[in-house]
Amino acid sequence: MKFTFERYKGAGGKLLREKVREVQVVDPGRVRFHLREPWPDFMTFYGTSATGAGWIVPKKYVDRVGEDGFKKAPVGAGPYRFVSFTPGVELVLEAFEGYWRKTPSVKRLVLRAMPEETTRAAALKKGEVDIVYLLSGPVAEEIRRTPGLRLVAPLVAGVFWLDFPDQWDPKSPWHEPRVRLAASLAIDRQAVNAAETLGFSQPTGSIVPRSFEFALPFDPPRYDPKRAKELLAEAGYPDGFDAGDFHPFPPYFSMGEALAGYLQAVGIRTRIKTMERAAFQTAWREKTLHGVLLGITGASGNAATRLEGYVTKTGIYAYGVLPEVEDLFHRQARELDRKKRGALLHQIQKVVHDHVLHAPIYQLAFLCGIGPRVAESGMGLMPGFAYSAPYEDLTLRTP
Amino acid sequence: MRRFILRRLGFAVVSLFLLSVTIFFFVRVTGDPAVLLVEPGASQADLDAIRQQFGLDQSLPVQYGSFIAHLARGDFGQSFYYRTDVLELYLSRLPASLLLATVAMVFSLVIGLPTGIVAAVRVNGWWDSAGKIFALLGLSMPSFWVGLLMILFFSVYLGWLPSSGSGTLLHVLMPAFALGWYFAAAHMRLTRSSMLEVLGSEYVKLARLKGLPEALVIGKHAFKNALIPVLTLAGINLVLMVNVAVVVETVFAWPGVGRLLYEGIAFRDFPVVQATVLLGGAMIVTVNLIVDVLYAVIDPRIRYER
Amino acid sequence: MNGSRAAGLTLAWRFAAFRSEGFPLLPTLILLTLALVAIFANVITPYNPEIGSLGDRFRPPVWQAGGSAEHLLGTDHLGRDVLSRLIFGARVSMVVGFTAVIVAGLLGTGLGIVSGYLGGWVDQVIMRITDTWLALPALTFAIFLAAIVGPSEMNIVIILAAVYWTRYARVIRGEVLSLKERDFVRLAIVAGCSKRTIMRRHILPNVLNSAIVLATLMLGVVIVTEASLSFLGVGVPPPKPAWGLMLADGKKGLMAGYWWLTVLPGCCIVLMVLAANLLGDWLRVKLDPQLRQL
Repeated sequence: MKFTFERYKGAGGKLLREKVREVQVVDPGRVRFHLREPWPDFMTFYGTSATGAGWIVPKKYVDRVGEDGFKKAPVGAGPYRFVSFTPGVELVLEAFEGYWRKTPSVKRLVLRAMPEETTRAAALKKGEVDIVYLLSGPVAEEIRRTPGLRLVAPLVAGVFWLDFPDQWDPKSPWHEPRVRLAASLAIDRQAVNAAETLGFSQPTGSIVPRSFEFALPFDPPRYDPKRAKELLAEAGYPDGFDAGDFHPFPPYFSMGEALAGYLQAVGIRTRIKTMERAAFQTAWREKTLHGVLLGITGASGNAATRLEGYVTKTGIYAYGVLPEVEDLFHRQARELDRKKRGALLHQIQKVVHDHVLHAPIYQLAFLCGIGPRVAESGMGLMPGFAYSAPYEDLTLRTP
Repeated sequence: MRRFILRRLGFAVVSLFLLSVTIFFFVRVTGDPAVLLVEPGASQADLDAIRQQFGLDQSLPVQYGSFIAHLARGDFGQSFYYRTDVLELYLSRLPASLLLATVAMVFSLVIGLPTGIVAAVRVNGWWDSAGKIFALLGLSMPSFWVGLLMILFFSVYLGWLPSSGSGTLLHVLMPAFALGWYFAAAHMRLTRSSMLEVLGSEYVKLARLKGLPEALVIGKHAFKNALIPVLTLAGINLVLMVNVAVVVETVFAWPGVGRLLYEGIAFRDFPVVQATVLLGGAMIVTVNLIVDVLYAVIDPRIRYER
Repeated sequence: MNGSRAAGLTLAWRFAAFRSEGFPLLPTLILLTLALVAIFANVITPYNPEIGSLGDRFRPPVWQAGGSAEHLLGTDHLGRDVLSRLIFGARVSMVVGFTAVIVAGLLGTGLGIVSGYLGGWVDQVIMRITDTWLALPALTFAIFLAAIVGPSEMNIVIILAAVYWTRYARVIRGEVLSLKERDFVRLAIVAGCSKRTIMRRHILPNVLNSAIVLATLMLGVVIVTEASLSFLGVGVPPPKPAWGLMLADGKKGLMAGYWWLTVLPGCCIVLMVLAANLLGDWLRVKLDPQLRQL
């Protein structure tokens, strides 16, 4: 476990290393983490998908096969054993009898990569696969209509929002809060929701999901293109302006198109730029994306962990920061009294909301198709988690 | 004969060389090659590192030398997306494309040959006119649209065939037909004209004079001779099919090298794009060479041309 | 040229099926109509092709249940009017197609003349390049170039021209080679005309016929390539309406039975290509019966 911690190089790495003074192995079954200062969110941060740091990796094995060997045949502590991996095609797993929680019911899992939505849906209809992730619009409609198939739409811990990376640049039109508010008002969230996720998503006014601890709920702004145009005129852009590129979070390109259409209707002109997800995230991190961004994150945690990446100075996706937010964030990070902490976090969220740092769209309902063979699909079992989990709970119908 | 082969070989080598120069030229000279050769979205530091690694600040001939040296070793780079050796990736996808092209070729010959023969035998008849219409349509319809229409008809409306993916015989039928449709038209035209030429030749006239039954004349003598140019074209077209199947493979999500090229551009995985183009071009040059030599072996007149 | 088996076409395909050597009225009318539609697109489109309303998405054409006269040919996934997009798509196809064909033609004809007439190492160099580029399939080459420079309408035209000029060069060069031996050229040489004058005043007008025929035949091919590029996402970038792009968008709705988004743009493409091919074939027979190498 100590080895795993020191080996971790992911998104939360900097913060973890700053705050954790040392990791001490107490006995083969226990580990003690010594923190430099009180950090109430440590377990949230470390133990959930807020970072991936908690996934344990065996030192002896890594030493034996090296990092490359580990990449080719990883070993972890989960309910399924690695069998094979063909990059870009499929990952095959076999049930591990001795899993500490229970023996998995489904003996063999094959995870297949099918980047095209229509391909996935077609495969589901033909019975070639049992569960497909991420359906939208007409394809989802079609699956819903097909007898024998189920469409499930668990609400995940992910909220879509429009990010305005150029707002910190005084020369950019996005610097003016009225412009950002105009963009937010220009969007008909309900219509996009209906088009993309068949109405299952929940429009919201905050990037923190309501179910999160310390979340301050905000209603979504109403759809008011007239007011949006007025705001733009007030801010000095009566004919709108060229906002540059629009980067939707892959693969939600049709959603991006719909949003860009609404922006265009009030005069904010953009060009959609598509790219692959890893590239998008790298570019976001490296601060090379400009214009408008459709962002989303599904990492679990609480309000603080969610906000950390996007509104604080050390946040890897934050292009800029409001000093008062930064200050409040530091204070809450040390605050051990829950009520006081909550109040601080609420204040942060209010400031973020009032300054229109982002334009939240909706909390995503992750539409998935389930085939007739599946009894328990695992969808929605872990609240807020988008994918089928835990794997050991999956069951098939007995014929 | 040997001189001919050597000369053709020489031309092929020159073509390959020029192909690599063309690819190299376009990558290095248009815009900033570092942006292409590095992972999309990378930082300035990464860009500088790549410049170093590929020696992009050195003179062009030096760069080209190292480029060729890599190719000769079989090092076509690493895919950003798959994180594996590109050549390996390409070779792993090639069989699927070859399978698709072969079935498509079968389709195009099964449709093209008989239609062409009958059209030639009954010149200007009803069949000939129908054939011309078929050819015209076939050459005017984009193959991927044919594929989309087939999906609409056979998958969505009739539900007979799977609309995408691979694995069973049913999966290959539609993409192969869509791919082969265009070539069926081309093969029909060539068969027809080739047959007409043969039917008017001295050889056939002699056979008729000898009193041989018409069916024998057509079936045995004319057909075999008319077949040669068609089969030659078919051979060349097979390799062509592998390369132009990009769109059909994308429509049907068929895991071949065409799909790989599409993924390369969709994921901005430039090493994959570059390698696919290079290898595809090399394949065509090679097959052209082989076909030319075979043709010269069969038909000695060709050797003395040029 | 006459003995070569390249491309497998050794006999002219006499176009006697429909009208005996008659003017192809229908194809020309079609092309003219498309051109007019393209030019007057702004005036005749009922809606803005780039903006739609989500509430109106996936409406079928007027003759199907659920369709309305408001959108004669239905709407797409963003609620944009299909008819308007098809009309503007005609403009895109025509502009891109014509420009690419003309630029490729200028470049290819010019280089073909130079190569054929001057001979020697100039000829060798140009021919080697042409042969190599011809060996590379147009689509693959175009995709490669698009991956480098990025998609935009302008870039596509340049790419298409860069890929297709070789077809002209090959044929024109062949023509020039035979023209070189003709008497009037020999006379001009004897009379002391400069090479440039000869190429300009004697050779060029005589290859013009072939160039025109080639251009018409190339139009169909170029349009299909452009549609393929747009379909793959490296052609004309959205939200500009291009028929190939509409096909890509329409693919999503295919499963749900929204056929009009696939069938209609495709029909437009086929219509334009068919018309161009028919016209080109007729021109080939009329203008230059010797031109078999196509």
